[in-house]
Amino acid sequence: MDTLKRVMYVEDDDDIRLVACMALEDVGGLTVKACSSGEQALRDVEAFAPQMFLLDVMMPGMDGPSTLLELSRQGYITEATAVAFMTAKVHPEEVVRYKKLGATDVIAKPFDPMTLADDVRSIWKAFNGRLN
Amino acid sequence: MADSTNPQAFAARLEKLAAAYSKRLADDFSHLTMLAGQLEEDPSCTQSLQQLHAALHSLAGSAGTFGFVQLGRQAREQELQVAQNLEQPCNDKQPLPVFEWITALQKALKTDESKKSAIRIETSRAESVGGEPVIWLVERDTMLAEYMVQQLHSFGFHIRHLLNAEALADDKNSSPDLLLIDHRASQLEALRADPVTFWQQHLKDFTCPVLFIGSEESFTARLNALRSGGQSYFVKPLDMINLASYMAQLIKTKDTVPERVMVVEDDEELAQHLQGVLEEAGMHVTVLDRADALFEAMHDANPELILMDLWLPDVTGTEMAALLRQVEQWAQVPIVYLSSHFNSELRDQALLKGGDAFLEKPIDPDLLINLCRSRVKQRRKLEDTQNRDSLTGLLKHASIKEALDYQWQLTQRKPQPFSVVMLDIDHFKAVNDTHGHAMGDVVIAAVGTLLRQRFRSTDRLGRYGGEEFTLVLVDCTADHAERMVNNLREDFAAIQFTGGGNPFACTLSAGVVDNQHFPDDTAESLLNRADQALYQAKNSGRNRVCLAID
Repeated sequence: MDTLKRVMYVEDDDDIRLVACMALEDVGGLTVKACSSGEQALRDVEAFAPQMFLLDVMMPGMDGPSTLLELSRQGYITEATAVAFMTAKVHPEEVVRYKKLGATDVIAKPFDPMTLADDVRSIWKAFNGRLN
Repeated sequence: MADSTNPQAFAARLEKLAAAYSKRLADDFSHLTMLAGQLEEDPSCTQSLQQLHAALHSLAGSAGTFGFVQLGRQAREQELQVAQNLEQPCNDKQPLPVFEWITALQKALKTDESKKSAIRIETSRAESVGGEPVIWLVERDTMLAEYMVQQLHSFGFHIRHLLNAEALADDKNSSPDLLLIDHRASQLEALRADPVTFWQQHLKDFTCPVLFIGSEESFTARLNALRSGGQSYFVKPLDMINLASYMAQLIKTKDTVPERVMVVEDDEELAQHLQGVLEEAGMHVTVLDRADALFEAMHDANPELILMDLWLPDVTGTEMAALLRQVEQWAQVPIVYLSSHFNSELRDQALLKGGDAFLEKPIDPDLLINLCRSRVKQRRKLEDTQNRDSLTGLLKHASIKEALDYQWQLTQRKPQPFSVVMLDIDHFKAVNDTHGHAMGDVVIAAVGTLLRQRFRSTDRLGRYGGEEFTLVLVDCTADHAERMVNNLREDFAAIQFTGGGNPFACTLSAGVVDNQHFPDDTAESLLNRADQALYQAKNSGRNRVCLAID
């Protein structure tokens, strides 16, 4: 299993994006490409080549699910790419729906900045465990 | 955590971000206020509702991360309500109390700020589904579990079934409002060897009430359940109605109705201080600064306790108390005097004229809160024994009529929809004849439990007499009431009664009316219309709900 390094993070809320980046970079030691919209993610994905996507679900314009659909339509989601949605709605039915869309897991909002990186890593681990 | 990072520095940066975030909240609030204004003009404006939904959603998702836990939760609840509202057809939308919501959000923000909580969120959160309490049932017998889920669902509980005790540890992210556990719900050797230690171990992370069930009726079984942390032990075969009623009471006592307190005080700062202290403790507080508006204020706020300044301009507190004691409706409201000019003669005089206690300024906040709470509690207890029917816990005939009159008078001054429902158990005489009067009482008690479970604490629910019930549903149109009563009717029909071994079910009929369709009606004639609609429901085949027509 490759170690997780590059995470692309799409979130429209500036404050949340800032705090999550800090959590992932400073606490988790990850390299993060933060995007404020799905559109930006689609522009920057080629150059950054992320191993994992973190997508906010509700965003103006392109929301998380449609960003995921477009990313995979354009071939950026491979068997080795993990995807996690971040959302305040974590009803079991919703989680099932997101997983059907191709998400590996769902991270509940509000998240704890101190443990966010751990959560992301354990999703990555579980995802790779499933592959092997 | 990466070695290169200094945790203190990280925490400090987080704190800065949180400070920046709380500045942004000011903008969020003004945005919400603007939307509230738009929605007041046009409550069904889809665009405004969507914007409101987005704003609340963003708050719900972000506030907790910056340590504003209450604010985030409050926003989350409101977001769900907007989502529900958006789903309703346009002509059927209830206006949302957005301004009230903003006040609640601001209050939550204040609470969060006062706690100066470290930046982290709570790991456990009750997973209430649409406001319904969530019960986890740990039961290995799937057939029994299925039956219990269905029966308890009829009483408005949302049940999640876990197959055994081990499953309790699987979900770390949510927590139930109540745990219902078969005391033998595991095949692990540890349970057989030492049940008490086993359950203590498995339940150590749960803070909610726990009830045990089991097939043994023995002293040991009960004692073990008690020592394992259970509030009670129910023996199988389970009396579901009894169990539901017990559970309803356990859960209800957690969310009691806020105490309504009125502060009569002309010193604006002191009044605000008292209001702040009591609201912080979860009470509803109104402030009256003018003696001559006393009666109106009493009407509007309907306080359960009055904090009265002994010296007001032009009139003394004792005179105010004496005036209140002349009006029957308010003669019993406890009065606590606030005074800085404290002497025993004055005190005796004031107590003689109808005061209940004295608080000396400067007022100790803890004493104030405790005094208010205990007085209101005493008052409610007394009212309950006087006004409530012992079998169902609902209001007695006279009290429900009084509640209806009060609601009617309130809406004469402040227009607001309310519905009146008359409800009757179908063929009740046959239940008594076939299964005996004791069983008949069980059926009536089941309706009582179901009603208390299903309606809000602001609704007034009464046993009108025999097997007849009256509901006064506040801020509720007839269409809405009809839907709710229809759900209630379906749930009631699904409850299985077991009288002398023969299981049977009962049905309900109901008539519904609201004050908006009949603006010229008196309280009495609204009640008559609901009764006529009930009669119509009975005549057209029973087990149905009818709306009153012109």
